[in-house]
Amino acid sequence: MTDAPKAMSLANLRELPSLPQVIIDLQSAISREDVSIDAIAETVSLDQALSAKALRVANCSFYGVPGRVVSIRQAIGMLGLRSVSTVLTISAVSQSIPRPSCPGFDMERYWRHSVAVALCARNIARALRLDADVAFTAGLLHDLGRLALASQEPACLSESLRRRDELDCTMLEAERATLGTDHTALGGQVAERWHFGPAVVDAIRLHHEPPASAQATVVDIVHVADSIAHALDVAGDPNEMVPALDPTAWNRAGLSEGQTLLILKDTEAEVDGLCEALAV
Amino acid sequence: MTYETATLAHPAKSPSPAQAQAPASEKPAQGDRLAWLFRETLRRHQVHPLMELLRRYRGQEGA
Repeated sequence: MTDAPKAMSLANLRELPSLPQVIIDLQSAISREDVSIDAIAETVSLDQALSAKALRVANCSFYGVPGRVVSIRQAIGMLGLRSVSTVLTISAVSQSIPRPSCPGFDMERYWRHSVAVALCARNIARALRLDADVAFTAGLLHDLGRLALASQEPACLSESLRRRDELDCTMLEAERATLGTDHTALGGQVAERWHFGPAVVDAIRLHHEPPASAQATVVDIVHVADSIAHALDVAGDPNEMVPALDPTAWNRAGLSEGQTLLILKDTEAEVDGLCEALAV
Repeated sequence: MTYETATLAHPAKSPSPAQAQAPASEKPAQGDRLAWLFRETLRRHQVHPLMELLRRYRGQEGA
C-alpha cells in the first residue's frame, strides 16, 4: 500500500489512440445540426470494422428492429441519426481502447456497470423529458477514466483496487489516496481530447460531486443512475458498494416512487440484451 | 419523492456494527446483500433513498 499520494503521470493516457475522425465529425455535426446524412453514411461505411459492429448493435432487440438493418444509411433512416451516432460512438470507444491487462480489473464487470448506467440514465432522462441520447452516452462513458487507467496505467489501478479491498472504502477514495487524482478527472481529460460535448465531459468529470444547479442536469442524471446501477448489483462484484447519493441532485431529479420503481425494472431488464449486442 | 440529509437516530434496519464493518472478503448471507451494498451509508447512520425502494422492488420480484 502506498503511504503518500504520488503524482499521476498522464503521459501514458496521452498515448491512447484518437477516436476515428468520422466519430469526431459526427459529434460536431450533430451539435451544429447541419449534418449531411448521406455524407456520414458514406464515410462510416468506409470503416468496415466500425460499420460491422454498428450494424450488429443496431440489429439487437434493444433498438426494436432486430435483423432488419443492413446498411448505415438504413440504420440512420430507421433509428434516427442521434441513435446511430450513439451506436457508432460505443463501437468506436470499445475499439479505441486497447484491451487492458490489469490485475483485479474485470472488463466484463466494467462494461456491465457502464451499460446499466447508460440505460438507467436514458430512462431517467425520458422521465424528465431531457435529452435521452446525451444521457445514454454520458452514462456509458461515465467511468471512462477507469478504463483508460486499466489500459494505460494498470499497476496504478491495481494498487487502488487493492487499497479499496483492504480498507473496504469507495473506489474514489482509494484512487485519490494512491494516485493523487481519480477516474473522474482523468476521464474528463480523455473525453475532452476525444471531442465529446460539454454535457458528456461534465458528466464524466462531476458525476460523483454534482454541482449546484437550478434544475436537473445530465450530471445529476448520471449521478443518480450510477447509484441505481450499483444498487441493482448488475456487475456481479462481490465487493459492490452503493456510493453516497447527493440529496440535492436527487431532489432536482424529482423522480416519484412509481417512476423510480419502473426505472429499476426497465434498466435491469435491458442490461443483458445490450451487453450481448455490444459483445462486452 | 425528496429526502433530507437525515441521520437515523435509531437505525432499526442497519446491520450490526460487526456486520457493517466486516472485511470486504467476507461474503454476507444472501438475505443481507442489500445491507451489504448500502454499508457505507449505514456505517454513517444515514438514510439512502434507494435502499427502501430496492427492498420493496426485490420484494415485488419475489412475490
